Amino acid sequence: MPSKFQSLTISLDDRSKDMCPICKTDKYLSPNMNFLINPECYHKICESCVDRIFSLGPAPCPYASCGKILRKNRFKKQIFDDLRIEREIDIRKRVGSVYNKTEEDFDDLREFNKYLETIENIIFNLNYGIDAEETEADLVKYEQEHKLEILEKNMRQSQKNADLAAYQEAMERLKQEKLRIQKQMEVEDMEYQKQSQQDLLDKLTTGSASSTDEIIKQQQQNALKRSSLRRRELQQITNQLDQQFNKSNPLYKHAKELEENLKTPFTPFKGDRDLNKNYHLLPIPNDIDELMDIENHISDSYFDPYVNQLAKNKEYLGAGWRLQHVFEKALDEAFIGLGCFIEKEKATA
Amino acid sequence: MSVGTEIKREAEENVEQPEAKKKRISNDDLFRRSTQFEIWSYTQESLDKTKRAANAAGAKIATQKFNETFETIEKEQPEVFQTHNETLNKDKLLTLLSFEEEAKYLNYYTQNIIPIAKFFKMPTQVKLTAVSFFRKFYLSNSVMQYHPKNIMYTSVFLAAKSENYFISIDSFIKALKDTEAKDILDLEFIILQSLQFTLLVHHAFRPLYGFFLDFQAVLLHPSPLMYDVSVNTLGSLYDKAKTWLNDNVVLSEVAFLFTPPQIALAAMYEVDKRITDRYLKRKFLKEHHELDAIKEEDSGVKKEDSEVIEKIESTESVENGEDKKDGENETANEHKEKSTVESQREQYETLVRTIRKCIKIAKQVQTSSREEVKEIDRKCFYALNPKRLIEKQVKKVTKEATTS
Repeated sequence: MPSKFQSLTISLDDRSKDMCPICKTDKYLSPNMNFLINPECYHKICESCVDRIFSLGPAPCPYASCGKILRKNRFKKQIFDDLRIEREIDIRKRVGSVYNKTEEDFDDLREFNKYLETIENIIFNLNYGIDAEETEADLVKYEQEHKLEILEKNMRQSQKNADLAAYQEAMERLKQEKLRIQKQMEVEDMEYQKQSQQDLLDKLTTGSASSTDEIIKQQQQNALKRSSLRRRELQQITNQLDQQFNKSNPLYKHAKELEENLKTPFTPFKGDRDLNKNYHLLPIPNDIDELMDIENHISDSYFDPYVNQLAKNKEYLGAGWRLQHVFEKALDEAFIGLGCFIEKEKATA
Repeated sequence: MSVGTEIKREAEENVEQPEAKKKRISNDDLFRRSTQFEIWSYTQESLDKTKRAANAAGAKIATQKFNETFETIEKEQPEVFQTHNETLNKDKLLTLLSFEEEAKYLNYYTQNIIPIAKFFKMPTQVKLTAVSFFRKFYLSNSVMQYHPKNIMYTSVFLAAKSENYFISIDSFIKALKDTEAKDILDLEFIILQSLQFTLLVHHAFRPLYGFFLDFQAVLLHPSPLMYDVSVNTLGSLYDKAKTWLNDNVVLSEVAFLFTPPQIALAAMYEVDKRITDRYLKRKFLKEHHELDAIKEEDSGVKKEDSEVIEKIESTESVENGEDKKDGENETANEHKEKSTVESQREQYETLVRTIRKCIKIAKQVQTSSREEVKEIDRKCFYALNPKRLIEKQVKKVTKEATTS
């Protein structure tokens, strides 16, 4: 197997990169030409050559010194410029189709990570040709032994994908439905408006001149009432639709949980900090004016001549240093761990 | 992995969350998460056990080393060893440090950190961290593996770095006699490994300052609670407590056994029991404090207080297991009181008991004099360099043989 990959490392200069080495057609002259590769040996051959050579069945690779038997149906378009990456992706696909367990198949994360590690090892070995034959044999053996399991996992996967697709489709349908209802209502509204305008005109022509203002006012009120009613109606309908949709949707429950979770902020300790402090902070001067004249403002505050003197320092003030932070931090530290009785807690542990 | 599975997995993770939502994390819980609590806090027994294990492991390594050197030297000069079988004997020559000797020896070097820190004009914080690093290192290693001299220097150097008081290695070694930069830099990583890379050490001095502030808030505001306590009394109390911490706590093992605020309170309590107790009562027996104030004004010392202290003193000597029983008796006696008051009282009593214990341990500081340590130093040298010992003996024996 290693010999197969050695040829890959041939460096191609820019000109030969765009030229089919078999028929010497140049991309420059025929811009429509495409290159294909075969995962058997990854040699680049242009489309017309593939048609020409492999249409009649399997044939050896036209590259000199290769000679691998290639089939036409295995030829594919090259996705990555670097053939090494192309090959790794192919290997990855192949191993992934055999080792297709997911995290839910394992009891704990450790086991799953171990499984992923084995997969990576196999891919690495195949890719770099380390014990390649052995690994290949192992892979085939595993595939044979776990045939049923692999099939089952595959089916589960496709089921899930189908679920998701169905969900997306239903979502789209719902959106369309909502839009349709809204449009319909708009049309109705328009008609009603025309109708009411007509009514108004009729009334104005037949009614007495003195009640004109009143009629117009009444008309406006009616319109306002109606529009708010319509709005409520629309809201109701969309809510109904949403509910209906959610009931029939398998992913709804998860989505809801997800939403709920979003409301809880992230807390590194699996819980929120207790915001009740163990101490009551005395009033601390925080105003610039107070700080500049600190001697007259600390009678109710903490007494620490050294720190209080620093509070006046303009350099400190400019950098955001505040007396309050100093005191608060010291007090916080005084009560962190006060109630931890090591002897008791470590003895029971 | 497809989007579908990802959603599912996230949902699974979410299931655990709601029950934890209501939980509140107290400051104590926060401390319980620190490495200082998780790794570096011990009970008296477990601390003793750890030290003994370190000593035993060190002895084992030293013995092994000794045996190997003995055999190689014996191979080189078999005839000498045969003729002087009695003096050149494995059991007779092997020198190891006993547990007590090692403790004494380490004490001596811990003491030495203080003048070193003073020499470099390091802040107290650095000094304490250096002591902490040094002690922690010898909880998992023995002087029979690493000689304490360079470990001490490296601890100081490392502590200076970790406490943001950087000294360059060149200026550091310039001040030390016959020590090279390599000696210190090589040990740095070994020490870090033994510390399990936990460099943050919480010391009692910061909480002490916090308590100095809170004493003011509790005892002086809005109006002074005790007629003879003013800002100046508290200031001198704070200064004395600092001195006490420097004298006692730095060299004792309380840092492994108690949390920093407890040690800080212990210092306050030792310096002025009356004021500290008043503070603790007011702080932790909240419902009581008005009552206390009246009674104290009436009779000076409250009768109940002295009872409590007596009770604490008696339980101090008793095993932990009986603490609970004691508490039950108490509840039976004082059943008329509310349970909240009881739990407050229990909390207060546990705290006072802990503080008193801390003081007791801190006072047992053992200092080792230079003379005491000299002999141990010699032994330690031979334990580390068995080759020198054996060669010296061989020389001595052969010299005797030639003269006689």
